[in-house]
Amino acid sequence: MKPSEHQHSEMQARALGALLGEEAQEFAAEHPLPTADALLERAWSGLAPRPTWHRTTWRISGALAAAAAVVLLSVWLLRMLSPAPLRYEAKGASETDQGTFVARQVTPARLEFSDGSAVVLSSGAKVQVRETTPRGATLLLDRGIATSEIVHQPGAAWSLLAGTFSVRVVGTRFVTEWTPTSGRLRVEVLEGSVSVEGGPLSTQSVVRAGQRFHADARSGAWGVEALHEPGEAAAAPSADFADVASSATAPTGGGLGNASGAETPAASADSVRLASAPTWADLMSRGDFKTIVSEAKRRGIDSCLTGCSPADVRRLADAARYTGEYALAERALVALRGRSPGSAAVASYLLGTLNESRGRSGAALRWYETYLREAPGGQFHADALLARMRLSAATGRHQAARQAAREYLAAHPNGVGATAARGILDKP
Amino acid sequence: MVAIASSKSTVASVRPFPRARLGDSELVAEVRRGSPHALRAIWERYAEAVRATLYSSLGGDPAIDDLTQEVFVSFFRRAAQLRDPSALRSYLMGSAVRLAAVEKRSRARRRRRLEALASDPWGPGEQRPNVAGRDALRALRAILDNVSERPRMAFILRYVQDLTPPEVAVALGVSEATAKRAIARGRERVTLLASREPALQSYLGRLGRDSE
Repeated sequence: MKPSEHQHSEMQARALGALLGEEAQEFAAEHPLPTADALLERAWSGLAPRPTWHRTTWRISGALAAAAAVVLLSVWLLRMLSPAPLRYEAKGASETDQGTFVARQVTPARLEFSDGSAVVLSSGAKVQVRETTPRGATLLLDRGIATSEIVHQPGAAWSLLAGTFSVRVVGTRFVTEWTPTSGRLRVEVLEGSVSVEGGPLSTQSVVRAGQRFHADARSGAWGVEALHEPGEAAAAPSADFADVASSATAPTGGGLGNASGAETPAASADSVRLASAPTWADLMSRGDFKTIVSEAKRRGIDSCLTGCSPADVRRLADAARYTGEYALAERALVALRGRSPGSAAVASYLLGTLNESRGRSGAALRWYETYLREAPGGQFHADALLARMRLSAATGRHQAARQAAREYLAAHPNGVGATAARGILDKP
Repeated sequence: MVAIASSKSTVASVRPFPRARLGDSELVAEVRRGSPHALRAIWERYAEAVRATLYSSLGGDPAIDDLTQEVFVSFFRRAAQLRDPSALRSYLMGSAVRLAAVEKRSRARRRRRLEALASDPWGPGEQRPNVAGRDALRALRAILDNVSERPRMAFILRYVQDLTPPEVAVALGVSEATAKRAIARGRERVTLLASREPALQSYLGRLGRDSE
C-alpha cells in the first residue's frame, strides 16, 4: 500500500463504516425487532432433556395434566373470589434475594404499594417484604432507616419488624431506624399513631404524632418523648414524600433524632438523589444512551452543560456520540473542557475523533494537536500522533506529517502505525 | 414475631423488581441462575445492536432474526463461563461477528455445491438476500467478502459498531495488541480495495472534497 493511501485510510474506514452503519439503521427502522418470546422458547427448549415418549408415559402425562388443570382451576377460582394481596414495586434498590431490597450506598430506594402506601429506604438500608395481604404488608427492617407513609384504610394491617421489635400500623406516617449492631430502635411518628411491642416492652407502647419512641434491646431501656423540645422549631420531617416523588432531592432520614450521637447510615442531603430515577451512570452501564440524550434535552441542553456534574457532561457527550448526535456531542465535549480541567485533554482527543469521523480534517487536526500539547504522555498519545500524521499528510502539510512520523517512531517504534510512519519519512 | 414468621408468604404474587433497571453484571448473574426475565431484559437492551452487527456482516438476509436469536441462545448457554459480565456488550458483539463469519463460510460451501450442480444458489422457494441497491454498498459488501476473517470482524466492530480497541479485544477474545493489529489490517485492506472500486471512488472522493 502506498503511504498516501495509508494516510487517508483511517478517515476512509470511518466513512465506510458509517455507510454500513446507516444501512443497518435503515434496516432496523423498516424491520421491527421480534419480541423476546421466541428467544425464551428456544433457550428453554434447548436446555430441556429430549423426552422419549411411550404409551405409558402419555397416559401418566395425561393424568397429571388433568390433575394440574383441576388444581389450577381451583386456585384461579379462589383468587377470583378473594381480594388480591397488595402488589409492590421497588425503585432504586438492589434485590439481593426474593423480596429483599437494599438501598444503594448513595441513593435512597422506594417501595411503592398498590394501595398507595410507600416506604422510602435511606441509603444503605435493607428491608425484606415478608408478606403482603389485601389489607397491608409485613416488612422486616434489617438495618438502616425506613420512612413509611401508610394509607389509612378500613381494616388496614401493616407491621414493620426490627430485631425483636414490632411496629403495628393502621394508617400513618412515621420514620423507623434500626441499628442491629447496637440493638437500638427509634420510631418517630409524624402523623397518626403506631404501637410498638417486643424487645424489653412487656406490653404495647402507643406512640402518637409528634412523639419519638426509643429503646435499647441490650440494656432494656426504652421511653417515649416529644419530637421537638418546647420552642424548638419543628424541623422538616426527614422524609417528605412529596419531595421524594417529585423532586431531585430525596429523604435522608436526617430528621430522625440521634441522641446517642451514633452516626446514622443516612447520607447527606446533597449526596442523595431521587430514588426512583436511574442515574446517568446507571443508564450508561445499561447501554441506554438514548434516554440520557432525551433526558438532557428535556432538562435543556444549556442548563445541563452548565449545571450537570462534569461526569454527567462526559456521559452526555459519550451518549450523544453513540447515538449519532454529533453536534450535541461536540457541544458537550467543549463544555466539559471548560467545566473540568482534568478532563480537558481527553475531551480534546474525543473532539479530534469526532471531527475526523465527520470528515472535518482541519478541525480534527487542531484538536489532536491540542491533546498532544495538553497531555504529552496521555493514554491516547500514540493514537493522537498517528492521527496528526495522517491528517497532516492528507491536508498537504508534509513537514508536519514528517515531524509527527518522527515523533511517533521515537515513542512507538513497534506501534501499529510504524510502517506508515516510515513510509512517510522514506518519501522524498 | 413468631406469628409473623409462620404466616403464609405470598411474595410470589407481587410484581418483581424491573430488570431493565439492573446493570449488565447483575443481569448476567440472574441469567446464570436461570432467570428468563433477565434474559428478556438483555434481549431488549442489546438485540438491536446485535442485529445491526449481523446486518453489517451479512447484509439484509431472511435469516437475520434467527441468527440474532442464536447469539442470545448461545450466550444463555455459556453465561456461566463469561469471565467479565460487565463486558456483556462486547461479548455479544463478538459473538455476532463470529456467528456471521461461520454463516459466511457455511454459505460459501453451500453455494459451491449448488454451483457445481449448475443451479441457482438461492433455491426457487428461498428468498434472495435483500442486498441494498446502492452501488457503493454492494461494492463495499463485496470488498468485505474478500477480507480475511479476523480483520473483517475487527473492521466491523471498530468502524461500524464504534467499539474501542480494548472492547474489540474483548469481543474477539484476543489481546489488545492483536486487536489493534487486526483493526489496522482490516482498515488497510478495506480502504485499499475501496480505492480501486469505481462505485466507492466517487463516495470517498466526495468525502475528500468535503474535508478540505
